[in-house]
Amino acid sequence: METRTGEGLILTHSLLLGERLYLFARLRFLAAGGILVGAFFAAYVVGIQGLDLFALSAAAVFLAAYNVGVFLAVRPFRAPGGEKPAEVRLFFIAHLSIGLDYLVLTYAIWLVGGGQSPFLAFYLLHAILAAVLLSRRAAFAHAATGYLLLTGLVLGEWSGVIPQHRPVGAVSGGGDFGFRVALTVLFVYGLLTAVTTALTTGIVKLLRGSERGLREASERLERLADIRRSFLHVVLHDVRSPVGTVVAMLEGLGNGIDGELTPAQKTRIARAEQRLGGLLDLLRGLRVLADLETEGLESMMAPVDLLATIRATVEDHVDAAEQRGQTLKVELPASLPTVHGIDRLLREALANYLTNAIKYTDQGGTVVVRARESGATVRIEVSDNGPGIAPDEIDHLFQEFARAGKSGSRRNRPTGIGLGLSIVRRIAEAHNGRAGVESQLGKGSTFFIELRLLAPSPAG
Amino acid sequence: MRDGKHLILCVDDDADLLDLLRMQLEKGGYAVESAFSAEEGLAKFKQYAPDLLIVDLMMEEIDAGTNLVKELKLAGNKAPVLLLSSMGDQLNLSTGYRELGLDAVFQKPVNAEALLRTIKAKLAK
Repeated sequence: METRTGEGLILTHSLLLGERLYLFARLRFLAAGGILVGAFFAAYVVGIQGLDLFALSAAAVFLAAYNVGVFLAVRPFRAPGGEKPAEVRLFFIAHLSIGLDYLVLTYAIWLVGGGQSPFLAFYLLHAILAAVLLSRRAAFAHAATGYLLLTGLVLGEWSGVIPQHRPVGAVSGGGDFGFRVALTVLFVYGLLTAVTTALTTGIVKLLRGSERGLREASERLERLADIRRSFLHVVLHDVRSPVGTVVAMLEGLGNGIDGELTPAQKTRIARAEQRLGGLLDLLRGLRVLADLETEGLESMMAPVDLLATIRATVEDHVDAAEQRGQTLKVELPASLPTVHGIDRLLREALANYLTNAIKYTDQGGTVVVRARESGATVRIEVSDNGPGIAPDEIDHLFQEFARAGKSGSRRNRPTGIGLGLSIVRRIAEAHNGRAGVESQLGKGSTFFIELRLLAPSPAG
Repeated sequence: MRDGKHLILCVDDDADLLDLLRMQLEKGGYAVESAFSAEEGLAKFKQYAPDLLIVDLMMEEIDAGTNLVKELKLAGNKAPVLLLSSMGDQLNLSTGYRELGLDAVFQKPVNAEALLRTIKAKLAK
């Protein structure tokens, strides 16, 4: 049973278990010495009569003897980050030593007054020890075991099954509250208070130490994440620059900047541009992801003139729509409230919708960009009369690496992974808004992003 | 103006891109001067008084492009300035565009037709 330390019994941090067991093993030596010294002190100095010194010494020796084993076994695990602890073995040691402690405790208490002994309070100390070392369930199990032993002791003595030891002067009751009883009570509770305090403060120190370790580790990770972010920015810039230049050179070449090309050469260049375009899209997506991870994104937000942003972004897509013979229409109100955000990211989100609408809508289709204020939000939407999206696909659409495809005609299906819509969703979320789509198969789709307005300020 | 054509000064540390810009702009009917660095850009600006400038945001030194724009302003520039920006540039740089008095920002790779359209519109004013 005890060795089957399943998840229920396992502590959150097995490294700490080693530290604690080591601390307790050292305390246990003190306890064994304490029993021995205390017994002889009580008998010969205080003058307690009727103490079974031989039995008490035997208990102390037994305690010390098994503690040597515990001490040696947990010593390698006394420092966190030292040897990797064998969890199961440490838990076995914890359970076994606590169980043995209860046995020795019950035996010793029986010798010093049983059900009337002031030492009964040591059961509480052991309950604390188990609670610190083990899981909640295991601690309750051990406390119950201890209580069972106590019950056996008390009821056994009461019924006469177990003989009573009542060393005179150690035990209260019997009416006469003598000097020796007073001294014993003071001694026992003084000791108990000191041990409990030493123990709990020791544990707290260990916990604080590990907390500090965790904090340092998290600071280290934070620094690494910073380095990673800057690295990503540098890499993205350094990759993008040459790719961008190559795309521009190919475009120039295709436009006959260095002389007319044959149709085959033009086709080849167009295909090269298309492939590089996919790469640029991916780099662009990664850049937005890197931006979204920027520390203190909120503090970089500024008032955004949405109408200007929408018009400029649509302008960037006029050529692409024209090339596919599509109508790109804008239906905007005369004015829109100013939202608080990052202009570049909002452009990115809208550009994503527009690129998709143009890509997935058949030649000659229509794409309409609308924006309107509704309640506390501004809604920007991009509608198309493309193939639409099946209801079961809508749910996955805004997740990473999803892409609508099944319902689109096969030859129109673009290549590449679908980082796009998940980026729109993240941008919307970064702005405290949401992104979504309404679609009907065969009729078209409306992708929207809703941005929350700030509470109206006096300025506007 | 040079030989009856509008003069455009292009500042970019990417020689290939500069070369390409020159060809495309010349094909579009403009006269072109090129500069490889912010310092050279400023010098050529003073020397030729171009009708329009195209400046790369991120040259070898960080902020070289934005600093050049500021210096141009101090030098009394009235000509429109178009900025080329590359992906991977820091996010917060995008917020200062308007304060810099820039006329347009193009993301690389720049579409030649869109660029020529914007230039035509800016120079017609």
